[in-house]
Amino acid sequence: MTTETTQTPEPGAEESAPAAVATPAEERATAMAADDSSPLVDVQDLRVYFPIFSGFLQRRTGDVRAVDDVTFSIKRGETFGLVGESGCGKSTTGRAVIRLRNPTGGVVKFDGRDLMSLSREELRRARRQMQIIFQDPYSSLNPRMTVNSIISEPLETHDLGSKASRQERVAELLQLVGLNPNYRNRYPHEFSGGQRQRIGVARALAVEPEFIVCDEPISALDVSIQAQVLNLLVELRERFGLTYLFIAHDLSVVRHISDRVAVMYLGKMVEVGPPDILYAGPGHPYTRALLSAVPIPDPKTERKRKRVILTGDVPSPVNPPPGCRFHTRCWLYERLGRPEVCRTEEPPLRVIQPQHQAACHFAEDALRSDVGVAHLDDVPESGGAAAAAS
Amino acid sequence: MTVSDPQAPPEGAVTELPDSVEITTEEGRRLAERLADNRPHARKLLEVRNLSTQFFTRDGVVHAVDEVSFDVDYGETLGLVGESGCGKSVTALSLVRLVPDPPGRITEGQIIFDGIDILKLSRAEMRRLRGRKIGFIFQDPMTSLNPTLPVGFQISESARAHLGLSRSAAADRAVELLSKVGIPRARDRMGDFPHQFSGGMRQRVMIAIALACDPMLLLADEPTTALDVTIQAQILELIRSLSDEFGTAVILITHDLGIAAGMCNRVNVMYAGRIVETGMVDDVFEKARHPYAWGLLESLPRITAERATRLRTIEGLPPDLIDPIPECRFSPRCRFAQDVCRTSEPELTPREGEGHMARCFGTEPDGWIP
Repeated sequence: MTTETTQTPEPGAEESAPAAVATPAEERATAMAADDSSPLVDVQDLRVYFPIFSGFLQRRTGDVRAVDDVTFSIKRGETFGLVGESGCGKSTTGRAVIRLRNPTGGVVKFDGRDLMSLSREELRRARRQMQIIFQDPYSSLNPRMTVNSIISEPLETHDLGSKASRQERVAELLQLVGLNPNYRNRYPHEFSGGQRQRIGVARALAVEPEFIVCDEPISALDVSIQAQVLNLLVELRERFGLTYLFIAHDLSVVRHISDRVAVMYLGKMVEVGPPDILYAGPGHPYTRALLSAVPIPDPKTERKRKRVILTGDVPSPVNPPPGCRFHTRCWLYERLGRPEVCRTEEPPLRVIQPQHQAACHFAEDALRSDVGVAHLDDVPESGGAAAAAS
Repeated sequence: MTVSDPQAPPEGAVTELPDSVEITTEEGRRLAERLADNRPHARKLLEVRNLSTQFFTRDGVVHAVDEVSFDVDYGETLGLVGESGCGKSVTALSLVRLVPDPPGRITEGQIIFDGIDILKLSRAEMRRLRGRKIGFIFQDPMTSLNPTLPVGFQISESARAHLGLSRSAAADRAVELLSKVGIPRARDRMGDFPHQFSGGMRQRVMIAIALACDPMLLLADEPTTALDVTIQAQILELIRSLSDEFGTAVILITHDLGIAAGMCNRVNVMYAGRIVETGMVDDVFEKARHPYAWGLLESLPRITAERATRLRTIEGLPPDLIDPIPECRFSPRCRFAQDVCRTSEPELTPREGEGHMARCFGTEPDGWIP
């Protein structure tokens, strides 16, 4: 079981805050402050299409355009939040960025290297720098493997350390994510959802990556457990200088953890900006509609909120609407008397304010409206102004 | 299922018409008299007293719902909130006697619906009540609709069975309901099957079925959990406007405190099979008097909040409901717990505010929590 060289955990401390364990990665955290601002992840015109085959001959008859010309970059140490509804392409984007899914087109550069040009072997080695935490803590852990073998597998894959030092590392990692190292020989089914997600986090951290894609890491968990895992992710980020691509459908969670937030709709990125600016005054009508739909756990605010309820469903990504993809459900389009440009011309993602981009022909009108941000009445004015100025 | 399925299934597919049910109990006779109209016959629409539901499993007896008491007024919306496993769904199933038996059983308590003690009804009489006076919406609209029957049939089925409408009258009613719940071209879509609808549309179909017989109470168990946030807003708005229009009372079961805040008049917060706090929605959200209730509220990342570094958490895990501890069930996770909490269990006692009650020694008038 545990070697005596590591600290013996207190009994029942498995949910407590991570214990102090020194790792080389911590040095990166301090070195990072001096680092240049060149992006760690640079994505240009990323496109992921899934072919549709149909008919007797199974001919290719079309594509599901899951991700369509998405461009963004993530700085070292930054947490980039990606929000949107199911089917908007956010998870596919996350997977394509670390080449778990091969893109149909576009360029993904990681630390200056083009991931698309790497051979299998080079890619395998590059993956040491990038890891992923999956949404479902039930299906993402092999039920036949012990916690020990789950966490040490990436170490073996990357040929890190001797057998004995791997054992030590597993104990260290378990402690780091707040689990009792004595549980290392147990199987996933012996743990609760929150604890399993901690195991997934430990597995991702095992090879000391720089970049972690967090694909809805807390949406399968109960409310009181969500906060525990979210805190853990924040602590690890500060400690190891991690860079996150944080994917979620919950706008409040994304606001809490992100330095910058991007909103996706039907395979397109429609808005990007720092959370304080984006949540206080979104420049895309879809973001405003999303914000107005989020239930707020405060009955007084709920009663006086101004809602825009979007009509209809998200159109099919097989045959997205021409022009702006959102115009079929857009409240602003209706309010402006259905301008033709929305139906004919696809709006590019453009700068509408410092640090703030939106893909809407009428972003300035959206900015001026108060739709979706009525909840801000309760926030002291100084707070909002200071945030916008910074 | 093949495409060549007949649009109108055979007559026998309608389950036995409840009107032909033989009345065997006193309560059943009273129910029969009251079926025709929706006038209130009692002080409260629903009175639940000391309801306990247990599951008899190989590992032991699971006390899923433990001595739960609450009321629902005519036309009000009551929220049952809590995390998974707290007993909120089993409470709802118990109210309509749909707890899977075995292993589950209502072991104790009274459920008075519009003055009728429903635990005294025979099984057949219970079927007359279900669907007629109490409608349901479940979490997953794909598994709760029958994939092999057209939606029009599924909606008109209960109108035919409960209201004795003819096939064509029931079909008209189904079209009316479908357009009421916002399905465009309702008449054309009557023959469509559930898989031809999107998630939000299926949930609208479920609502149409639930409201087919103009029930007095709607049980909505996590009605929007499987849906996206913009579709969730549509469905919640629909439930709100329909319950206003028909004066239907709603019991809304949700883990999302934001939904409860926006929809409910009153809420019950459940933890480990018990109600730990109950009151008007404003009192519970603003002046929570149970550490679990305010712990949950504090642990939520807020869309309105500035970016913070650390959320308040409730440490530990909910308890096992096999042989629950005899003391306060929240005490092992409670940062305010004192010796008294670890030796005996508090009662639900009144707090400031109309009907506001909490189950906590610490917040009682002579307690130590301010």
